[in-house]
Amino acid sequence: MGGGATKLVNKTIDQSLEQERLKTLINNMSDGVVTMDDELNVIHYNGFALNILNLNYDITGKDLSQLMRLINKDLKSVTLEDIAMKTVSTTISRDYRLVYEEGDTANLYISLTRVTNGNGTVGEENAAQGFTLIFHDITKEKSLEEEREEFISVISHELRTPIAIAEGDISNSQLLYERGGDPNMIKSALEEAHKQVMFLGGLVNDLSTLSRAERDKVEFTPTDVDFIKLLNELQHAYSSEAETKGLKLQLSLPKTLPTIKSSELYVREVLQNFITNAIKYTDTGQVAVSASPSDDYKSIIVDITDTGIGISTSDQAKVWEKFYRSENYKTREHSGTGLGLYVVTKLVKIIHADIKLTSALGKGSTFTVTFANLD
Amino acid sequence: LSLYTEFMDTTTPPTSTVINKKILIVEDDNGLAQVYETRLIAEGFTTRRVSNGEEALSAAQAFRPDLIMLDVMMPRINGFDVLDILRNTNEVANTKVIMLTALGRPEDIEQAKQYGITDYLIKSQVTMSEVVAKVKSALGLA
Repeated sequence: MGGGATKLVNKTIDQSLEQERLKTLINNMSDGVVTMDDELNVIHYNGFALNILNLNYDITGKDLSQLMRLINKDLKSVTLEDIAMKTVSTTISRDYRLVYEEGDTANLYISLTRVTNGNGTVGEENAAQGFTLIFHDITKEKSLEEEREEFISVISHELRTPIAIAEGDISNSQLLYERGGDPNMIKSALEEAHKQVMFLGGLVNDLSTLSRAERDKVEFTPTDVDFIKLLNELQHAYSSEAETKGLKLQLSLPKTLPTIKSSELYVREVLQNFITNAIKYTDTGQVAVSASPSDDYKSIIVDITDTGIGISTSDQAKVWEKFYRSENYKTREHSGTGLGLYVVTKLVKIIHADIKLTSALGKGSTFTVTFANLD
Repeated sequence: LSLYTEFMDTTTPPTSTVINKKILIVEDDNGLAQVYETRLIAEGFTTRRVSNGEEALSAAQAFRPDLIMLDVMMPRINGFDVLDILRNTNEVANTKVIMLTALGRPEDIEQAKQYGITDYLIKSQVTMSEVVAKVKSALGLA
């Protein structure tokens, strides 16, 4: 064998090794990869592509635009062909959704690249040699993004209204003062401004609890929680608030309760939210808090019952939604942020508590919280 | 449609200049409505305050305001619906309207302009003095 032939064999070996490398690389990518001819018929693909498309057969030679049902942001149907037609070199999008046969959808990151031979340009003959599609499922990221955007928009609204009111009240006080207006009007405008600022303080506090709760999803050590002591403290703390509204804050406790392991801070925060909400939404009557051990003596059940405006069946499902405030005319007079119950749902998840709501419009509500022993 | 109306008492303004103009405040946030009303009374206007679309429509007929400060986001009949009905009701079709939006979304403002509003303001992005200035300018008092 001459030197030239050896070189040729070595080159072939190098090439096939190179091909193996590429194949391994493509097969081990955590993205779906498909190469197609210029009519979008599949030439090569990797396992991940089948995973995302939820197909379990060989798709070589098949028209990919028939295998991918896509919809755009406006839920209108789009074909891969449409996207390919508009692709000059590469189209990257995070806005398409893949529709599965069962009707489920997945948000996709799509990168479609036109493969051209040499420096041919689109439109010229032999220019488009096919396409390469790289895609992955970004449903989770998308829903987090949406949740964050919604959160920021709601939060800014919730912050803006009290700021506007406080600014207005202070501005009005200045004007009234300058014009020698009624001191009682100045006083009440300043009181209202003060109330709004306090409300903003509470909102910021809720937000910081929320961010702490997000962190504690990861790290948190349960400690002994004495419910009898805790509930007595809460009654002491909120009795006067109830009394100013002419309400009674009643507490009924058994002689003993099992000591369970949980987070005292979060248990307190959860119960405090239910008690203050009950006081806020009750105009006459009472708020009754009672505690008892579960049948197996392993958990503690706390009931918070009010004689308030109650929650209609349609609103009950929405009670846990972030910032939800009832559109019911009468309930809008209460300036709750609705953030409280959202914080509660976050905390409850961390301490594995369970909440039940029994209520009817005009008949009052009972929230039943079962605190698990996290020992 | 209930004609239930709960108009606020208009107290004597602590000012010597009484302006002979009536303003209807349509705002479902009690605190914000109160603060607007206090100020407009102090500025010498006659005001009425309602908190939803139905009351806004009946008050527009009964009170015949020179200007309506109209909130967009309200339960049931929203501000756009109120505006649409107003513009199609002869007696009140030409009432000046300042639309109050919470977030100032461009699509809201665009929609409001199509209905023929006099002006709009983004609550919380304007100070109370600016609110008064807009009201006065809409009424040709500035």
